[in-house]
Amino acid sequence: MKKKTFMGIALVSFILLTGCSDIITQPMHGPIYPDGDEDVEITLQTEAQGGIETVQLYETVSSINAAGTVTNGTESLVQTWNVAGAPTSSTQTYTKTGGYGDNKIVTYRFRVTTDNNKSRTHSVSFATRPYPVPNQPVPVYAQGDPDDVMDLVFIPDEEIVDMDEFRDRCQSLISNTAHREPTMNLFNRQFNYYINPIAGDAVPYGTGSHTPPSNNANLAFAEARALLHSTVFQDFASGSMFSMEWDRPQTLLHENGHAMFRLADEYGGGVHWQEATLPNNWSTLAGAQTDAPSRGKTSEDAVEMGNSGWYKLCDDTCPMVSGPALLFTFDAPCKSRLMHVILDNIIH
Amino acid sequence: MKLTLIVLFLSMITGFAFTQTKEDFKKRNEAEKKTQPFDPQFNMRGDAHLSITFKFENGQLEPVKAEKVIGKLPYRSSENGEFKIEYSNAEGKILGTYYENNPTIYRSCDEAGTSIQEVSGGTEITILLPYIKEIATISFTANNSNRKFTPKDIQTLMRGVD
Repeated sequence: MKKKTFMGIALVSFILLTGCSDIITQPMHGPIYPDGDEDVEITLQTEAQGGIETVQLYETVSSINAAGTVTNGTESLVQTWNVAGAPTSSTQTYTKTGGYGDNKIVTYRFRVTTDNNKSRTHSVSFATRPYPVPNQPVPVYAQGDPDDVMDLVFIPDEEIVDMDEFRDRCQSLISNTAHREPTMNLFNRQFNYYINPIAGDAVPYGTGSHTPPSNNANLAFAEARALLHSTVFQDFASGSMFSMEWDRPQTLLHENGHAMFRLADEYGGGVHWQEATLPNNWSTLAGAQTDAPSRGKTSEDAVEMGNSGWYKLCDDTCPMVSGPALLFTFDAPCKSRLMHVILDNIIH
Repeated sequence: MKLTLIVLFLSMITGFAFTQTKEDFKKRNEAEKKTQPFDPQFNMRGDAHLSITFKFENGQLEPVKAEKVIGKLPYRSSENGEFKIEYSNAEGKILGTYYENNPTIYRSCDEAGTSIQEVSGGTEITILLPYIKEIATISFTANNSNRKFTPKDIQTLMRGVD
């Protein structure tokens, strides 16, 4: 009897511990910055251990004028999906045929309910082309007050002629890079993405300075500015602006790591410093070893980066290392720093 | 008994993993709760910060212009970092300090090579500060290098800011 009770408790606790979890939603629309008369596909990918029961899509179409003043539209229910079998992952797609019109700000909102009576809503706003506000970055995937979330502006390089491809590349960097990194994806509502209407000029490392776009002062609110180009050359960053090839997703994670999250390099010869709170670099081996258990690592993980005199705990596949073999997952020490900064940014 | 132990072991392992995940979700939900929704009129919001442009000449930062720009100062570390920015009022009282990526260097983490180089002479560098009209002096310290910067008086520039 005792044995049976013991086993029963163990089984119940196992089910309880593994059977309940929260919901992860990943909305996307394409094209990311559509022309007013272009069809727009809106998709939601959901993961919920409780089993997905229903998904509802609402939309609000507002108008914006050249002064930036918005005439708000009214939210309406577009579609309801009753998901058969309460799966733990599901994808819903809706297509707006004929587009939303010029000078619009579209906000779509998904509401997911699960079999265990949990729910989650997720809203995304985007502008349609043309966007009438001159010299301002265009919100193409905006979710929160820019003061509260991490803002990234994509700036086209002067060499880019095919702007349709540029916009597609921007969408890919959001959906296949930022949303692919587990921590950034879990916190995906804490990021806004913009496309700048004015180009900058990226130059190879060692040949001078990048030329920022003429409206650079209007981008000052953003934590990071990515100057995207198609020609392959050695990129560099200065301050919070960095250049990158538009098809190098790991570069975005690495440079965002610097610009948004104050993560230092994790290779010898990079730039090193030790943040006071949740660093990813340590100035002493003993410091790294001491912090290791609280950062999801062991003291054996503490290693010197080259001959730099600086130490790290992350694996060599962390995006803050430089090289082609990087994964799309920040290792535990960087992950905790990301979460700290996201929360700290809202408070301050 | 063997099965019981296996179940208990699985509970401990998954329980630990779940605790981690649960903590992550807790932080996510906390962040989302504190975050205000996106306002499409974000270009018209009332808060502001200062954008001070410097020209990098002979290893020094020479002030060029000061502008009031829309929005909160983007996230900056207030604790430690590679480039320290400290701003004071006319009486020398320190009004604040923060750290950011060193804007006086080009930093290349490219697969083609990793290098650090001082920015070219004449390059314009933007330093952002909270919108505090009393700021009169800015001083810079590049950690991990021997570079010395002379504190800059920006009172004249600040008079032109709204």
